Amino acid sequence: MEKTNLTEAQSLELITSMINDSRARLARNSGTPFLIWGYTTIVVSIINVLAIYFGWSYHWNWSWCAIPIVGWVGMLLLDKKEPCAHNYIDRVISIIWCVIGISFAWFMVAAAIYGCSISFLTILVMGAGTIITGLILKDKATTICGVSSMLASLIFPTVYFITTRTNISTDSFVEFWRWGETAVFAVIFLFMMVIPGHILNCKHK
Amino acid sequence: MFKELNPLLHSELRLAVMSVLLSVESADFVFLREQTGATAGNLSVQIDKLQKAGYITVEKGFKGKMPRTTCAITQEGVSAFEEYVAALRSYIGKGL
Repeated sequence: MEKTNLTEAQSLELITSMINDSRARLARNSGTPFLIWGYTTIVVSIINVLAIYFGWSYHWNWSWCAIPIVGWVGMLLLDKKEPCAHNYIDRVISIIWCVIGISFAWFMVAAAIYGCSISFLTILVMGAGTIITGLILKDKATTICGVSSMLASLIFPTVYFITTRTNISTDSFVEFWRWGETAVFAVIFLFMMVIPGHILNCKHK
Repeated sequence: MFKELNPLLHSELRLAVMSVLLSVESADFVFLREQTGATAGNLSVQIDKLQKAGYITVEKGFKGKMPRTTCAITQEGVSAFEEYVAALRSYIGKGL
């Protein structure tokens, strides 16, 4: 790129191609953060399902703490790998997910102190994040996955209502739900983060 | 009467750098080098010229232990770029 004697048409063509290439480059790997957090959560969820099902030590509950650790390490490695450039959209999406991450940390504190289930709130808030990301990136599949996840989050309060306020649940269902809740949580995460992540990466390859 | 094309922007590499920076809020040296396909030495010289003209800001920092140079376009740079594109359009419009 040493030329200075550009024609007017060549200059306009160069400007257009540089702007388009830069935008395409920034969109590349836009699904990878979804994959890092999604796969990490699913693996930890499966470990917990197995721990509950086979009656392993309750200490396996601490494995949930691996999600933020593995997630942040993965994000740092991703940031290190890619040359750095940011646009307004990146900044908005990062801020949204930072706020969601802080909310999630509060949920974890509440779960640790009060021993309550945070599956519903986690899926609801993360689903909202996925919807917002899909709308900002104008990606229909991501938005649909987020909406579906938010709707699916209603499974948790519904089951809670059925098992605690009605007589229609059986003992075998209550037994199943001990590990089934985490299994359903993992399946929703698959639709909420992993599938949109792969779709976004394929779209901008 | 044709508007005069800004000689600082009417250079392939400087125009490419300005176009990239116009589409992002900030970009590091490696990103600019990869997008423009320029050599590090040449890019460094052109960035310096754009910075001296007040069209871009250059910040030196670190990414981990590696030094990192981050560039961003200034308001003055945006105005100069807009004027340059308007001048280009007037040339093309009158040439048709």
